[in-house]
Amino acid sequence: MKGLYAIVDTKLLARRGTDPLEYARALLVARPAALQLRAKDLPARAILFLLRALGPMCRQAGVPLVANDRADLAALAGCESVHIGQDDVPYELVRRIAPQLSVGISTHTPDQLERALKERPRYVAYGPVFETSTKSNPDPVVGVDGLERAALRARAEGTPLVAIGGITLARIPEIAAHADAVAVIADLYPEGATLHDVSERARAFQMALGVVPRRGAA
Amino acid sequence: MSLLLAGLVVAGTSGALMIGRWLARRRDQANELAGAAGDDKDAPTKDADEARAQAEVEAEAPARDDGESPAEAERKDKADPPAARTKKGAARVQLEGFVCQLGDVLMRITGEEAWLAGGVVLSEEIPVAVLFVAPDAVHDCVIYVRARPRDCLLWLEPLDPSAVLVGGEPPSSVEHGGIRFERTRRLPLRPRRIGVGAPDVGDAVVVAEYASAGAERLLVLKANSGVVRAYRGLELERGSYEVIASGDTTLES
Repeated sequence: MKGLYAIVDTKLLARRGTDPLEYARALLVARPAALQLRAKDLPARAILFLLRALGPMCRQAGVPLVANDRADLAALAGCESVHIGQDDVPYELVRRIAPQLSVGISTHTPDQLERALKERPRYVAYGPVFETSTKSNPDPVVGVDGLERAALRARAEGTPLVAIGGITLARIPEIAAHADAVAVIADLYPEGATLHDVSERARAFQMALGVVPRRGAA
Repeated sequence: MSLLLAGLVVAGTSGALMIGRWLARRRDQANELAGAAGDDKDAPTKDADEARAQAEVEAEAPARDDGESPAEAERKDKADPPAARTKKGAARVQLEGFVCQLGDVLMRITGEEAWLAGGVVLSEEIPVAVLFVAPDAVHDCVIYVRARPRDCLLWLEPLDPSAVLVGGEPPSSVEHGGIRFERTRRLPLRPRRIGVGAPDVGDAVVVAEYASAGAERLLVLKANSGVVRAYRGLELERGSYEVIASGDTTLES
């Protein structure tokens, strides 16, 4: 896993009146390292509908689809991965119930990171690296130093690390050396941006992270 | 000649006696079975449809990842802990006539959701009920469904069994939390664990179902091993919940 970990946040998109599938299509043009559906505002059936629609799009683009929080819906929709937080169904249980899913774990402190690394997940996410506006109750900022320490531990364990929280294109040079991938929500879709702009920004993130663009569009 | 006749009479009489005893034994066994199920006011009748349903279940249940035979599936149930099973394989167990299946997600109109990750299929000749377990980060819940004599779905939470047992047995009526529950059924059933996280209730269990005057329900499972599990919750009306079926995934489409 290397490059942009693009997040389709339905709450943000609802505010802009943007169709999540059209938005995802715009992101997939850049062939990110992963595409996550984050739909904390939607009921289960709506999330499942979106996951089932995103599945073929992501497969065609060769991009792993990650469901946020909901291992049950990830399993029902046939996603490759699920991203779980500290308050979700525990990693061990997800692996037992749905072993076909690879699991990424959100962590926010060195202790949480150590516990997560012991599970040998698909990846660990660490942050927030910077102040973030897209989470309603954000954890304390870990900073670039905290990310750097986390990266050393993750690399020692051979687990990819995804930097999360407040990441913008302008800040990529600060963190690129300390993360395998960076999760981005808001900065992919600044106010006034078009879907074409979204594709371009996603490409720019990939370039900034040293990922050579692949040919072909989703 | 008379000796020969006497011998034939004795042989005939003892043969008749043996046949009579055999018939009586069969009758007693039938009565015992009827007595065991006699407390079940709505015990399912074993008609041709149910026999067909059973055949379907037997045929579907083992159709897991590798198309193993029913005997192999039974052996694996005993040998492998459910934890060792994959959801993908277990989810193919088809429970004919039940409103939900292993792997489904249940959603109540009140917002609660349950991922049916494991369960205990409770059978007489055919599956009578299923006790599904739904893991959750906060607290697990249990879904009890029956297909016959009518659809019924109970949304339950675990309960300390000592609060409802009398002399170690599920009584005919019990008061719990200020509500009186009457036992509506008492069924001796064979359990079979499926999926992940299903409780171990041995290889034979008595299931006691209780109902209040309202929608509150109690459920007690007493295993032949002596283990007792109890649950309390509500019977949900059709329309107060929705089932997201696990059948079709984008991987399969």
